[in-house]
Amino acid sequence: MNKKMTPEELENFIHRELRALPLRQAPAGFEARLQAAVEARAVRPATSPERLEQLIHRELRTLPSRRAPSTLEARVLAEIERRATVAWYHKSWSYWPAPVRSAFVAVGATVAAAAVVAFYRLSQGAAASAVTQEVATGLGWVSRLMAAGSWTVNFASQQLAAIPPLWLYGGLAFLAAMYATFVGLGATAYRYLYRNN
Amino acid sequence: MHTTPTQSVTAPPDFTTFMRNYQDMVYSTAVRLIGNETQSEDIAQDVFIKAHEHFDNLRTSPTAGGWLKTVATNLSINHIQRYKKRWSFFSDLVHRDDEGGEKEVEFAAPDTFFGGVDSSERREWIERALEKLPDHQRVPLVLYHFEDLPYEDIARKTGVSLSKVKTDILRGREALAKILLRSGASHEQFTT
Repeated sequence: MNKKMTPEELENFIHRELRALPLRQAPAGFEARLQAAVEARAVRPATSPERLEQLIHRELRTLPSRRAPSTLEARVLAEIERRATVAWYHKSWSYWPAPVRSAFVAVGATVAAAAVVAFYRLSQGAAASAVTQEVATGLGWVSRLMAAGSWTVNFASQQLAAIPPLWLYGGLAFLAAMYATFVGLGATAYRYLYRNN
Repeated sequence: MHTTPTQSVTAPPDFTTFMRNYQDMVYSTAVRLIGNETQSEDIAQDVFIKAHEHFDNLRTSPTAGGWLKTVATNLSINHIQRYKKRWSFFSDLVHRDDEGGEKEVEFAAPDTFFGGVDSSERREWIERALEKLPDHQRVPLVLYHFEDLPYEDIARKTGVSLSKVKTDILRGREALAKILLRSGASHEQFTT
């Protein structure tokens, strides 16, 4: 029966076997190819990163500016015209006229202050219960919505339980396979259509 | 300088002159960073719309050119990053980013890449070679060689590590040199 080797014995065994291998003979023509490569490098030494940087820098800096398309100027002017015709209230806050901005800030601050005061008074006064009841009546539709949601979940879970497990797992596996396929197709399409362009 | 006879009712006449003076510079900055002419025209348009909004200050500013260049650079980088995010999911699936240490560039570069090629053809080759580089190499390369930004600023602007910026620029130069050698002097032998 074979005795099991310890890791150290295995290391020694493999080391011995590998070190006992004879030298391999170089393929035919190796010496000539090596000699040619050495000579080629001696004639044209490999470029250092610094030298490459200088070469590329010189090439790029000799480039003149590229000519802008002739349509650019007309496009910019047309866009400026278009923006000038847009009403201020369709633009972002920074484009609003200063008086409108000031008025908006004043109205906003007043509404916020009124809300804070009203909340404080409600939390302190006896009318709190009446307000709570009023709000509960107004939000009755929320409880009806929750009941409908609960019925839908129960119905769906009953239907799901009625499906044989084999069909269920098969369906899930099919969906996973389709998902992986579409991701793969998307990646391939990206690779060959978008990146190559 | 262009002499398109377009005039605007809203834009002041000196804005048109201002735009004519700077449009080549703005467009060049965008197209070299983005590598796509149509998208670069959109970016150049956005730059001049912004310039129009600040024209009261820019009109007499001696640094207007620098302002335009900075805005063009930032808008171009934002555009590339937005576009990249949109595609990064698929891109990551098929493209392993070549992050790694600096490696020796092993090819013999000639003193000039274009022996016997006339200058307009030469410019065309270089511009096309730049466009062929992937975004992650072209953007830092352009920021370094055209905008004279140091590595640290490029890393900050593009949101990648300093070592990756250095590696990408080195790889970009190497790739650019290969393309230029193939294009301009196909008899050159090199290996990487």
